Formats: sequence, C-alpha cells, structure tokens
Amino acid sequence: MKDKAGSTITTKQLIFIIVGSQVGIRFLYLPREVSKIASEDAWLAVFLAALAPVIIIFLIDRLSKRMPDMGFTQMSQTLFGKFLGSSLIVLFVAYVIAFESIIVRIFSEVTKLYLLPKTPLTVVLFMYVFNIVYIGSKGARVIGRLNELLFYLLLANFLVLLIPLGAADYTNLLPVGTAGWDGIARGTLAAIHFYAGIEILLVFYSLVNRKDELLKAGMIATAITTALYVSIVVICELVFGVNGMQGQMFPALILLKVVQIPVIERLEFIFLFFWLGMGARPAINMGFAASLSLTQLLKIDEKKYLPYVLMFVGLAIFIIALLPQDILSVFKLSNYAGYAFYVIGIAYPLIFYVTALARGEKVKQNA
Amino acid sequence: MRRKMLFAALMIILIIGISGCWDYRDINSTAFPQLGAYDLHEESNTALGNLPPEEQQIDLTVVIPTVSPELESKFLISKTSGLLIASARGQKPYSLPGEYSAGVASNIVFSEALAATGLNKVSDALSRGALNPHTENYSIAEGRAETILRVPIKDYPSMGDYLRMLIRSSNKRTFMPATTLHQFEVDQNPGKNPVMPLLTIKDEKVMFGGAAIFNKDKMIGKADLNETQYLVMLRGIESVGNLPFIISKEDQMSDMGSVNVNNKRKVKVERNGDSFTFTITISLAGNLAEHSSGVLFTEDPKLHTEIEDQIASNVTEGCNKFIEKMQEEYKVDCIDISKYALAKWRKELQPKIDEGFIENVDIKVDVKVKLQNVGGES
Repeated sequence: MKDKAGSTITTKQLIFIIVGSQVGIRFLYLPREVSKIASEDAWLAVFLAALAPVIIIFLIDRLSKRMPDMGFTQMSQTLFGKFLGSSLIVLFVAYVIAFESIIVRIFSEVTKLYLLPKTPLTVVLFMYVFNIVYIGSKGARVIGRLNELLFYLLLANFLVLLIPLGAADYTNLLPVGTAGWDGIARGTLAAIHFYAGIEILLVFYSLVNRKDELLKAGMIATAITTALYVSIVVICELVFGVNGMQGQMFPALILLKVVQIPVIERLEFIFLFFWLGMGARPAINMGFAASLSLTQLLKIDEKKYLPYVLMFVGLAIFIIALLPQDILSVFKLSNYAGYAFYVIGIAYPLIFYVTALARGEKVKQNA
Repeated sequence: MRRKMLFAALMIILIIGISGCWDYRDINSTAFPQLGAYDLHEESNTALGNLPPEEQQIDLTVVIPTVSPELESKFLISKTSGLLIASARGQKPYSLPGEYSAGVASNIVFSEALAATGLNKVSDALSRGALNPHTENYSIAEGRAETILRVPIKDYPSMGDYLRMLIRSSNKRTFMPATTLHQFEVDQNPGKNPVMPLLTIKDEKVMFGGAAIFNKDKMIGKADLNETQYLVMLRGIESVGNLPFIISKEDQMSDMGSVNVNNKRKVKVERNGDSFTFTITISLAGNLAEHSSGVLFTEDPKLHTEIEDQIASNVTEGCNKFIEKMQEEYKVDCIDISKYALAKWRKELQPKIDEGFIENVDIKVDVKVKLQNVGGES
C-alpha cells in the first residue's frame, strides 16, 4: 500500500519541515541546558550532538531505499508482524502526543509570561492546539509551504538575535576544552535530544516526491539546525557568560532584553510575535505525523478522516499539556521526553534497519 | 456543509477566547513609574501601606509622571515599604489609584547603605519580572536614594527625565560608567565585579560624584570623579571625555589646555609559575580642544608631541595610583582584567579568582596618546 497523506511534498519542503520540527521553543533554553553541563564548551557539545540526527537520517535513507513504496505504518507491520508492528506505531503516536504536549505547554507558558500575563493558560493552549489541528488538516503540502514561509521568518528573527552582540565578551568562550572530554561528552548527550523532531522523517519520507534526494535533504536540514543551535549557544555565552546564563530560564529571549533600540523599545516582544508561529511548527509537523500514522494504522480514508484524527490528537495534546502543575514540572517532564527521544528517535530507525537487514530478501519481496 | 459548520463553531470559540480580552489595559489609568529609589527602611510618615513593622525592610520611592496636562504638578512621588521590592510594590494599590506598571522605569537609584548589604535581593524583582527590560540604568546615591528623587527640579519635567538623560550613555559624554541591570548581573560572573555611577547632591542639584565599587553585589568603596576617569580607562569602558594638561619647562608653566579624547584598551597577560603579569595598553585618540600659549603648531612641531607625552604621563600616573588603591584598599578586580587570565587558565583559576588573586598580580600600564587634530588654528 502506498501512503497518500492527501499530497506529496518536495525535497525543499522536506528540508523546511525537518528544520521546523527541530527548531522551536527549545531553542530559547538550549544554551542554558547544555552550558550547565559542558560550561564554556557548550557550543562544541551542541555541534557534536548533530552526529545523532546524521546517523538517524542515514538509517532512514537506507530503509527507504530497501522499501521505497512503503509508509511508516506498513513498514513497521511488514518488518515486525501485525501485532508488534502496530504496537510500535501506537507507541510512536503516544510519544509524539506526549512530546508535543510538553512543547505546546512550554510555549504557552512563555506566551503567558511575556505577552499575555492575565489570559488563562487554557485559552492560550487552546489557541495553539486549534492552529495545530487546522493547519494539519490542510495536508502535507500546506504544512510544507507553511514551514518554508516560517523558515524565512526564522532567519529574519535570527538576525535580530545578533543585535546583542554589541555586549559580547569573547573571553567567555575561552579556553576551549575547559569542560574536559567528560564534560563535553555529557553535554553532547544532553544536547542530542534538542535535535528531536528528526524522527518525523520516518513518516514524511514516504510523502517526498524524490526519494533519491532524501539523504541530501536530511543533511542540509541538519546543517541548518546545527548552525542555528551552535550560533545561539555562542551568542548567549558571549553576552551572558556561562554563569550569567544559569539564572535565565529562556536566555535566548533575555538576549533581546539587554539592548535598547530607538523606536523599537522592546525587541523581545517583536521577536516573540514572530516566534509564535515558529514555536508551533514542531507541534504542527509532529501532530500531523502522528495523525497520519494513526489513520494508516486504522486503515481509514486519509482524505476523509485525517481532520478528525487530528482533532483527537489535538485534544489529547491539549489535555496532557494542562496536566503539569507549573513550568518547573514541565521542564522535568521535558527531560523525560528527551530520554524518550533516545528510544523512539534513535532506537526506532536502528531497530527497523537492523530488522530489515536481517530479514533481507523476504522484506524486499513483500515491498 | 458539516465541516464548514464545525469550522464556524471553532472560529466562534476562538474569537470569544481571544486573548486580548484578559490583557486589555486602559493606558490613562495606568501608573508608569519613571524612576525608582531603593532604600533601607527608615521610620517616617511618608511611607504608605499596611504592613507590620517587621515586614518593612525596604523603602521603595518612585516618580510617576502625571498624564493630564491640566494638572499643575507634572509628577507625583509615591513611597511604600515592604520586605523586598515586589512586596513594597504590593503596597502601592493602597495609595495609588489605577494599575501600577513597573516595567517602564528607566532608572533605579540605590542608597549606598542598601548597596553595602548586597543588591541581588532587591534587583531580583527587576530581573525576574518578565515584562521588565534589562536596560534599566543602575546608580548609587550618596546617602538615601529617595532624597535624590525629592530634589526640586525646574529645568526638566521631572527628576526621572533629568536622570534618564544624565545617566543613560554617560560614557558617551564623559569618563563615567553607565551600568544596566544586565551589566550588573554579568559583572558578577567569576573574576568580575560591577561598578556604578555615584550620584550626589551639590548646590541643590543632582550630579555625578564618582563611581561605586562593588565586590559582586555588595558595594565596598567609592572612587571620586578624578579616580573614576582612570577606572573607566583601565576597565576598558569606551568613553569620550575631556582631559586637561599643564606643560612645565624649567619649573615654569609653558602651556596648558585640554584635549577631547576617546579611550580603548588592550590587555595582555603572562604567567611565570604562580606570578601573573598584566599589561594594560590604553590608547587615547582625539583632538586638541584648547591651549593657552598661543604657540603655532606649524612653528613648533614638538609641541604636538609634548602635549601627547604630558597627557600620557598624567594618565599613567593616575592609573597607577588607582591600581595601587584597588590592590590595597578595594581588594577586588574592578578593572575587569581577571577574565583574561580565566580565558587562558579557567579550570585552574576559576575557583580562586575572586579570593586574593588581583591583590597579588603585577599590573603594568602603557598609555598611548594620539592627537589626530589640533583644530582649525595651527
């Protein structure tokens, strides 16, 4: 069976979807989280962590070459049998819902904290989930185009983050290697889960019209994400220093509070205004991926029922996002979600590929 | 049709739930404090509120501009007390109608007594508040901070306006540090210490009196105006200012005048075992503003060099005196050079950089003066 998903996407759109799935709200606190462990070498840890998505892309590319016409659901069932294969899909969907609930909650908290302090959290959350469901219901091609549009906004927004460099102190980055191999390795492990979102390729690869360019697209997307991540860590280190960053919950956002530009008095509000769309991107992309996997698992008409499945996924995200008591509990859950990425994001492609290799020709024949 | 109905229903919910409904604020009934003064609590009948005495530790006095042009007074002063700043802010509604929006104050003045006890506890409310910018200018008042706010002001709409113009970017007009909330925080990183402008009242006018020296968040000393200019040059705060000079030959004054210069600094650190040597190169570049002798530069080419040498000599002497005072009296790195040692030997030095490091290093100063222009007269 060939996955339809209502439409196909171009390789270029796939690049934007991957970047969009990775660079969201976590971008705002990545520098603090990694520098807490790898101190001055946080940028190096973030750079080295990019090896994980590179391996994942390579594995998914190999898989797609072995079973080019299969979607994620069909591949899972072919490789592991109906029961285990379906269980793996359900687990994937549960992971996506949980992960995105945390992302949406953190983003709603930031919106509430900086922009809408008196608006109830439920309302802010609802607004996000509504958009996720609505955009997702328009299909993969619209998601691809939206990701492309938001990517250009991201670049413009990123340029704004260069303004505080006037307050930079280069000694904050030196000497390289302060954290030692141990610190850099631990920092790299912590940084890996900021590349979560790459696993979306498991679902989206079947929608790409030119599968021969999958590897190239994945590599370009990872290069973009890595460049953005390393840059923001370097900027935050230069402006705050490692110690100065630890007291800031969202250092990348606080960057914009340290400079004053005539006319535009409050830069962070402008940044956040544009970031609203970007923060929702991972949830839109992954929410769509979860819904598509569910429709394929249930063997229902994607075109007809995808919006309803999306509503169900959206509702689940909304309810789970409301569960944590406060932002600190959300950050704790975010760490667990990071561990889950090691299982779903890294182990899934590996297990799938190893199984495909082990089953060899048999799988190829089924395909 | 069903999908359209569903979409319409969702849109209605979205419109009803539009977030602005909750965060709407009437700008005319909002109090925007322009300037805040933070003091240790003092018994007085000017502070308003209802907290028991043991919960009154800090006095918060603010200047709030009045919005109506019909009012005679252009601003009002509101003082409340509390455990800390947010607690003192919490007392404002008892005496101040309308909403209180603390996020727009551009200047905060701390009393020196409060600064000596440590400012992080009171700065936290500004840093933590998501709506506060981190560009608020910090300064220290000699004596109580609220007295600064209460000095009668005639030439500006309010003391808030006056201090905003006086303090913001003060380093662009003279050798005076301008410290923001952000700088105050990052200057507490290992090996660093903040400095702030010191305000004083002279002839019923608020003016700079020098700089306040900090050990992390605690004020530990003062530098007068003369010392402050060397502090600024040594610290590498890029400034523009005027430096006077007197040239003497055979015990006779041969020329005097002043130059307008900007400063830059370079720091080199060398290590020999446990002894560290810092070489600070201060480059001053600018123009001759005036000189008294009337000697033409075209006729006496040496004069140009003599002025440069005299300025270099004055600044070197001033800087060396300041370094001596820093190492013997302040005992903290207020000239921000330890970071260069950290940049080379961070792992080893970071744990001890703030304890007895700066007192035991050798600091050399090399001043280079370049007068690029001597004005329209030769």
